[in-house]
Amino acid sequence: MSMDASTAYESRSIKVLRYAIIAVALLAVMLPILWILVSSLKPSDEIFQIPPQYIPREVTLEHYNALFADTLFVRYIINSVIVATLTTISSVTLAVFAGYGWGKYTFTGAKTSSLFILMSQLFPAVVVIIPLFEMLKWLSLLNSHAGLILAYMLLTLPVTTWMLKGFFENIPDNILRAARIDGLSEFQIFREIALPLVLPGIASTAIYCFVLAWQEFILALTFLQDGAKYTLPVGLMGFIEQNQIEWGLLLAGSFVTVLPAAVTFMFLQRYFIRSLAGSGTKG
Amino acid sequence: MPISTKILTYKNDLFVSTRERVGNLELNAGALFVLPVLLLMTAIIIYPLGRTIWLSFHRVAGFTNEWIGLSNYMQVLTADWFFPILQQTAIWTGVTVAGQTLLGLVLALLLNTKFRGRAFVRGLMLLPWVTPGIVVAMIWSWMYHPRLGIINRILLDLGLIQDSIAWLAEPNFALYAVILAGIWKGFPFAMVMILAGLQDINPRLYLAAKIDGAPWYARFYHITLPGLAPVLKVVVLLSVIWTFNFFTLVLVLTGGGPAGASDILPHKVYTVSFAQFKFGLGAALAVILFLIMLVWMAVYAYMLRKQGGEL
Repeated sequence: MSMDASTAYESRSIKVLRYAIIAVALLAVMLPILWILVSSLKPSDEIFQIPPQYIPREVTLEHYNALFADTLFVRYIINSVIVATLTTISSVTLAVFAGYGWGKYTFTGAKTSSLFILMSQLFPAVVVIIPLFEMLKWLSLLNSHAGLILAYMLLTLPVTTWMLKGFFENIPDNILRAARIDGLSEFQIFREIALPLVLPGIASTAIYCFVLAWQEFILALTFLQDGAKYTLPVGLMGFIEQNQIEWGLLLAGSFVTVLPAAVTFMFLQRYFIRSLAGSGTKG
Repeated sequence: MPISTKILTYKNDLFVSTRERVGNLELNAGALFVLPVLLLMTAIIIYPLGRTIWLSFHRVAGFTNEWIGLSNYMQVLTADWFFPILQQTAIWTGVTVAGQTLLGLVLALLLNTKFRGRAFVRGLMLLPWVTPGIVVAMIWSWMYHPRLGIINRILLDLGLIQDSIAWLAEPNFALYAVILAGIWKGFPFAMVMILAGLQDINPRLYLAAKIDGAPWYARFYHITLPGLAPVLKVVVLLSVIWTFNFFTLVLVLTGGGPAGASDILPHKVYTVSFAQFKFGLGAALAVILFLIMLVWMAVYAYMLRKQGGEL
């Protein structure tokens, strides 16, 4: 292991120094998130105290209570869960087929078309946002979750297809060849042999897809007009656009929005890092 | 397989099955499997892209679209805001990516050493990256707050500034304040990629260098950096494209202000289209943005090829 090689001859003082640097770096990186957590637990008068206090004198959950009781926040959470879940299901379902097709077959245009999908991951969404807007309007899907999910295919399909293609490629060809000799149809081979082998890959692709949809803001802001349909990011933005910025609600809401992704990642980070590093993808 | 080659080279492991030839076409079940995604992606990328190009030559007013040739483009190119925005977009992209990559490199080297709780620390370091862009914007606008922000409080306590600064309202600071937030949001990607790249470097190289008495900076310069080159190329390529297109922070933190001092190209496309409802002008700006992106990719591919790198 490289880490053994790089730390094998370390003296005690260097080791202490290294731990100290790591601790400082961690604190610096975590500070912004810690700071909204701390701030969100302050009572209103302390939030608006000048200068701001590092440590709250009093800890309160009043903003969290207000968030869930007095705003549409719960609605936003439900909307976000619906949109992210349906986006994930649609995107992964389509991508499972495509990933298998590109990963395990060769046909005319296979290389070109799969490169098109890879490159479309880099495609600036803002370039097509006007036509997408028109398209959804024409389909009467503007201001609907269905329309938003359709638009999210643009962001998620390239990544999910490319990730799953990688997982299918790892299946040894001989297994599929043997199944073919046994007389299974192409679809049976896919469903009964290949699919079960990539289930872990499907899981990590789905998580990634969910996080992408959960985070998305610009398309949701553009295509959703009705407050009751807002997803979390657009809903949060709503707390700003009122005349007076509701910092208490905003801070509490921000923290609640980070939490699910954060918890998921703490548990799955090892697994996730591997698949991220393997596919070169980013949200 | 090294991560860099996985994305950059098309892995051509062919699984030859029952082939059917239709004229010159060679088709099989694989073509059917990819068909739905291919059709859908065509519908939501190729058609809209064509439509954007078409719109860019028109004045869009209600239900009528009037052909006006290159007028939209002329209007963009002669606008007094256009070149400052180009420059700001270059600064935003360049400084953010440089910062993310540098910070990612330093942290990856730190996290690649052995210490207790390493997996936990790595997980925590990923948090900024899984934090939604809108929340990143909220967090930083709270920290930058002129009177209530912690950044002013810390700087005042340290005696580095005498008065609170309205970071997001100062023409000289606004863009860099957004950039700092962008670096924070994006560095974990570079960190994770570089961490993975470090695993691909043969540890015996370090051992040999150590036995020869090479100091740490020599080991870094002659082993680590060349070993990371393939990963760094991918990181820079992808980060530049993503950063260039990422305007949530500008939208929420400054709205491009003050007086356009922190505006960037994609945000301008968005505001021209959806705040001013000038769809034709917005489309022309979008086409220009797209062309810049294409030129960047072409130049990048050319530079890599010249170096003998793979793409």
